[in-house]
Amino acid sequence: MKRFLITRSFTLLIGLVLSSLIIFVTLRLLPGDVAQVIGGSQASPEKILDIREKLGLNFPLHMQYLDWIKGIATGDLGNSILTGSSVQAEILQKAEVTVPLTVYSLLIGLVIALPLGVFTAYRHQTKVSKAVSLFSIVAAAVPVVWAGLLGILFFSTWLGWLPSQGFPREGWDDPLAAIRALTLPALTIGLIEGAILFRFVKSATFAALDAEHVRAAMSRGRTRFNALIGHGLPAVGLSIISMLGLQIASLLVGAVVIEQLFNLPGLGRMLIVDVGNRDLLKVQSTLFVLTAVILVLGALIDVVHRLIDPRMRIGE
Amino acid sequence: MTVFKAFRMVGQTGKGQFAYTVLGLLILLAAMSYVWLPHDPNYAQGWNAWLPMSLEHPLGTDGSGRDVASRLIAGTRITVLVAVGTGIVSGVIGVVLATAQTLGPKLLREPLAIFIDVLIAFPTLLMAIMFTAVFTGGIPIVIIAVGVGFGVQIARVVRAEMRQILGADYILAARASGVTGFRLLMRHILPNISSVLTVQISLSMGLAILAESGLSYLGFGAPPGVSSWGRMLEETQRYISIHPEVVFWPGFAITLTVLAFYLLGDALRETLDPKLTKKQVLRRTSLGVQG
Amino acid sequence: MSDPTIGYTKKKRSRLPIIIGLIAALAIIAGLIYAISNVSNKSSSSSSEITISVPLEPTNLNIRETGGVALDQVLADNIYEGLVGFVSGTLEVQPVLATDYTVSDDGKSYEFNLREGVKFHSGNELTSRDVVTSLTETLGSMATVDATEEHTVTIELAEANSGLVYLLAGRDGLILEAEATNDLANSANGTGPYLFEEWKQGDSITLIKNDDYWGAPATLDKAVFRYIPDGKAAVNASLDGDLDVQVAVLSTLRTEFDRSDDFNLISASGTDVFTLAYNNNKAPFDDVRVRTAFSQAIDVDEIIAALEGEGKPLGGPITELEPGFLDLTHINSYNPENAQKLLAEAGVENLKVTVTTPNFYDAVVLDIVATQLSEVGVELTINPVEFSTWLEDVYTNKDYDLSYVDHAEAFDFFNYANPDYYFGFDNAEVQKLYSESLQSLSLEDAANKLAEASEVVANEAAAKWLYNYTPTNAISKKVQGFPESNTNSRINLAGVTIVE
Repeated sequence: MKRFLITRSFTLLIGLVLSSLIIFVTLRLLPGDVAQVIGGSQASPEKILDIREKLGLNFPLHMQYLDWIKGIATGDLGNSILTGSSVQAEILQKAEVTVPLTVYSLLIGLVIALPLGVFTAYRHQTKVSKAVSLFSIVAAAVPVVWAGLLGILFFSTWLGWLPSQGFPREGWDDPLAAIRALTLPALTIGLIEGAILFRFVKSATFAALDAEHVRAAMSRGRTRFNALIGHGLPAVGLSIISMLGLQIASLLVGAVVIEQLFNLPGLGRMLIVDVGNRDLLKVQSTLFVLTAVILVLGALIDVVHRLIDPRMRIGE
Repeated sequence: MTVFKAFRMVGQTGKGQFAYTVLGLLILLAAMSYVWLPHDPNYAQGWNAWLPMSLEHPLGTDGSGRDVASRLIAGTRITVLVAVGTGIVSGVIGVVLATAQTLGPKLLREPLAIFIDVLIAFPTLLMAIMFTAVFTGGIPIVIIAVGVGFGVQIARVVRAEMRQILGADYILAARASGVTGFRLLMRHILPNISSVLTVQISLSMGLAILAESGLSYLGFGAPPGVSSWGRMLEETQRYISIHPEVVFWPGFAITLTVLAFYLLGDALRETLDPKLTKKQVLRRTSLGVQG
Repeated sequence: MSDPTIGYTKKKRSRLPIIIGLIAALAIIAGLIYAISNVSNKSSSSSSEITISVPLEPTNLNIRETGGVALDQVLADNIYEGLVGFVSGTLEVQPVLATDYTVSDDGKSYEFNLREGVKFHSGNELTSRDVVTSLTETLGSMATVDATEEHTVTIELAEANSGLVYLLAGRDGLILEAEATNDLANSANGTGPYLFEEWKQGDSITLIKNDDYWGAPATLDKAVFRYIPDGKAAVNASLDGDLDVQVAVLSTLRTEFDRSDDFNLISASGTDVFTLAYNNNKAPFDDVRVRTAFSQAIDVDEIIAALEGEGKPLGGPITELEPGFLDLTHINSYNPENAQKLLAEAGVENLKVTVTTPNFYDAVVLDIVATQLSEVGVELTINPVEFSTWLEDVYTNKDYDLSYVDHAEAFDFFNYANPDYYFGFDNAEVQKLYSESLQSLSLEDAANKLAEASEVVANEAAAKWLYNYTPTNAISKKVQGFPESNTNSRINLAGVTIVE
């Protein structure tokens, strides 16, 4: 276990360095100049040069990279080129929208997927199961913009139940309003996410029903249902945990479109705006944080897997 | 079972028939669009904005006065291009990376594995946005960005499959008798991973269409003047409450086509290898549901 | 591999528990949605708070360095003030921080008497030093600014400039505190009736009442400017009841307001000119025949029809609100036959050109322009790019054929008299008329010279002025006194009230 932890941390570290390099290099290829964005369409060339000088954009690239990495290592993500405000603070503020949205969508997805997935695998020959399976594959094929638009049309325009855009300015100081604002976006992602998770849960349950220890339990006289609940589901849970890590991570980033559609001030929208403004330092730090979250989650899940799955300990 | 035979057998299942019908129609319409279209899909007439359905304009016109039906039909070209392009790019990247990792020099394997893990962690959508911003967008960039994104994931699946195969007796036998490198790959390994690969690529093709629609919505997809379903959805989305029928069509066409690719992948998997059920999960979230 | 059902054939367990579970889960979801939807729509806020949505957010708040009208729209008049300013919703100049001013006979020397007892939001009093520091920075080599007495400031111009008062009423005239230590990029410290409270990036700017204001006290306790770039989301926000005023409603979405009785739709005039610029320095647009042909190939009436009437045709660069306006729509009006002939004369048939445009404009206009140009044999490729790329490629490097962008600034005719501007329009007569306009001693003379110059520019087809944008604002029936003109570049909250 110790050896595993050491090698895993080592690969994680390499992964982090590598991703920082990829992000830094790709972003330097972007055309467009942040100094020009600040100056606007009436600024003179001298003024632009002046702004560039002030922003320190004239340093050599490797110096800029080393500066940035040094900052990250000491826990400082730098400041926005445009506003000078701390990137950390900005990310934390936007995460207040994106993280709850992700969790909320995932919860909706799980509430849909878990019972339905187990049920349809358990009774996979019935008409209901087949209908649910068919519905799930259709739902997974719907473009998220379209799903969101239909949701707005139905829940906001026609029924008037839910707000179709925005996040309260008071944020989580007004928790009910915040939850209300996130409900329709979360429902949109949650339904699609649920359809995807459903198929996963279903095949995992299938596999569990077929697993030898479950069949052994049945042969010892347990009912199929009991055997599944008692012996099969832990395995299902295990494989879901290993999938959830990546799911959460990609949902965090994947909210870009939904945030745009529902006008939510979250991380995804901030990124799109910053790319447009060429606020490179902020973009690269945000991108790095996101990829780092995903890499770290991946590593954590590997470790958790090791800890709880007895099969993984064989050979140690 | 060979992949070709599998394709034939898939045609006998309900899923397969649905997929073949939709995809056949798609290709047929794309081919037809080069010969004949009801109207020029880019002919914008300010006076004719938002005309209702009529004989002249079977699905009405959009906010620039362009014929919706013609744009929908012309949009099949981009759909086919994106699907096929991404399929090829992701397939090639997947196989090359997986091969390099299993058969390549030992020194290369571990770094490659890390590299792939990093790329997988790197959100496909963000990669696409960065790419399109650097290279001023357009469909080829979408194909490359999405292709790379799916390619690394296919690499991971194919890699697992390859390792399993490499441990098989007949490979050991072949290696013992001196078959190595390229020949080993072509003769013994590729045929054995072709089923996994086909299923993966077919799913990628469906996901690519979703990705195009998501990127187009964010303004990184097809340029104006090119009819694409994603672009149509983007251009009309804000009129959902006033002209819902015009917003309906591109979304419906995308859903139908993606569904066809999913079902094709499903049917292929069931035919090729029932055991695969466990491994093949819709990877749509790898895209972050943003399609 | 075997079917999982094999090995178990008894079927005694009822499926009831699962079905009950399912129904319960669905009921819980439905119940939650219902419960959430029944939370009261909006907490009843104090009556004098206004929420206004604006499409474009500034990149930072530094009014000295950051370009674009997004900053003036919110900060000018409400937070920052100048010696002179515009009467709310017009381009008429009135004294603000100055009580009055005099101009010397040669038009080169201005003397301003400062208002006494004006305080910055930091609490410090406004002095002539602040004015000198501010204006020296913005006017640069154009003028020497001096404080002759504690409350008197003189501006000595190097050359007479009849446009100076307009300049001072605009952004360059805003007075900042010389000694201020606040972070200009993230906060604002002026003399205006509202205090800067907060900027939530990507969301909103909040202003609150300045109880220490020198003039007529602010009529609102709080004003929130919400940034909603997507036109549809903004309309939804209005209909959800989140907004009191929505600036620049997408014309094609106006019918959505049929569903609500709470709003008046009011069309505002403005100085926005959506300009299709020709690269006058680059072939084939260095040929006046080609430029004229393009201008005549485009039917602006059709464009305005597609925008559902939200725009006025314009024959030249100056709008009705600005001095020097002339109705020039008869020059280079729609004439595709002549356009084709001119292109043939210039020997540029089967022309292929690209229009570069920031990606946030509605695509409809260029769709139609492309179709109209195709009718005279020109193939137009539309290249939407991010604004930063537009600035670099078009504005700085002048590497473009055609460009489509909104010139929102007022009094920006000088761009046609500056051959180094991205238009690349170099015409001696226009430059002469423009400098004469600056030298003239009366505003009327100045305007006449400008009008003359604009006619030359129109005849030379320096650009195609597609339309003068007249945005529709959706204003809640509770709101009174909201400015009805120029709201795209300045929203002066003076006199705006909320009545229940």
